[in-house]
Amino acid sequence: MEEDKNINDEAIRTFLGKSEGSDFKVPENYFEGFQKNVYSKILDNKNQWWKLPQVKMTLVGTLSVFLVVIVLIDFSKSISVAEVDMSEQELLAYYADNIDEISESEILEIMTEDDLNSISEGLIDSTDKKKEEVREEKKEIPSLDDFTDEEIYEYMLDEGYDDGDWDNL
Amino acid sequence: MSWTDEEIIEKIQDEKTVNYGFNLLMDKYQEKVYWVIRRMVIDHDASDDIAQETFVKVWKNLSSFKGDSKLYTWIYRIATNEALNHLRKMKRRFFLPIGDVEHELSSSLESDTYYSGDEIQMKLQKAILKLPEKQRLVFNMKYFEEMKFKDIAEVLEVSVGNLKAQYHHAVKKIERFLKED
Repeated sequence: MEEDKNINDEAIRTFLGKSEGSDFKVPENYFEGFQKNVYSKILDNKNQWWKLPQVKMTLVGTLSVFLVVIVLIDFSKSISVAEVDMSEQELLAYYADNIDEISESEILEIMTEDDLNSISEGLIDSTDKKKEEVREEKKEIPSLDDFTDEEIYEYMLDEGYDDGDWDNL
Repeated sequence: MSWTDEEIIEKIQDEKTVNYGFNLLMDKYQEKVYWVIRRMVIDHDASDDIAQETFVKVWKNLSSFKGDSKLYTWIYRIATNEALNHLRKMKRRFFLPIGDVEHELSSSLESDTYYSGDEIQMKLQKAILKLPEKQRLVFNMKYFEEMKFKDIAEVLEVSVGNLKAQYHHAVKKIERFLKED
């Protein structure tokens, strides 16, 4: 073809023209056994069904789904709280012993609304009682209003105060 | 009797004669395919393996061959892709930069028991090995296999103009390498 002859590679042809014989060669009868080798390779490929792209893709797909399921199951599992059978007394004893190590928020977490109500009722009761006691204590300690001026005067004299000391009081 | 590609395709497309058609195809192309590969990868054992793999792929894809391209350009395309893949794997396997593949192939050529070229042929081969892969492929197909630019263009899926430019550059580089040496 004319279009194929417009690149001059004569220099290379002249250079190579000086050489003799062939360059690359193949083992004897190589091409006679070639087809047999190709057929045995085709058979090998057929027998190795696990190398088929469809099989590979199915395996990869199944494995991926399996891994995703495993990961999802693991992450969706909540951490199970140990269920221990304990009586109320034991629990109270435990909290009493370890009260310093338990934070307010932890206490609030385990307490029900009823517990909180009963505690607040108890607190109200105890506050009222305390007030009553203080009132009674106050009643037991007499104030200056409970005494007459004469009684105070006599008491002061008994204690050794003179009239002149009154101004210093 | 020499079978045309059309006749071979006809045999292959008939379920009853598919094996016979494939035998005809191998008879016609096994040597051509082998030499295209051999000139690219140099080593005989590797070339043998790649040539066999090429025909295994041809067999596997026979049903998908619709005759949109010529039979032999289709086979050559598979062969050249396999050869180029082999060279890429070689680079990856030995962590070789592009320049060192040429060095590796030159060493392989010197130690190859199935290479009997004289000093002049060895010199030319070493000069060809200095070319970039695609240029080397174009040069080998044109110079040694004497393929037409149009057919090479179909195999490599590039324009004829591009191929001519590549071949021209390849020839000039080889001439320069030969003069330098």
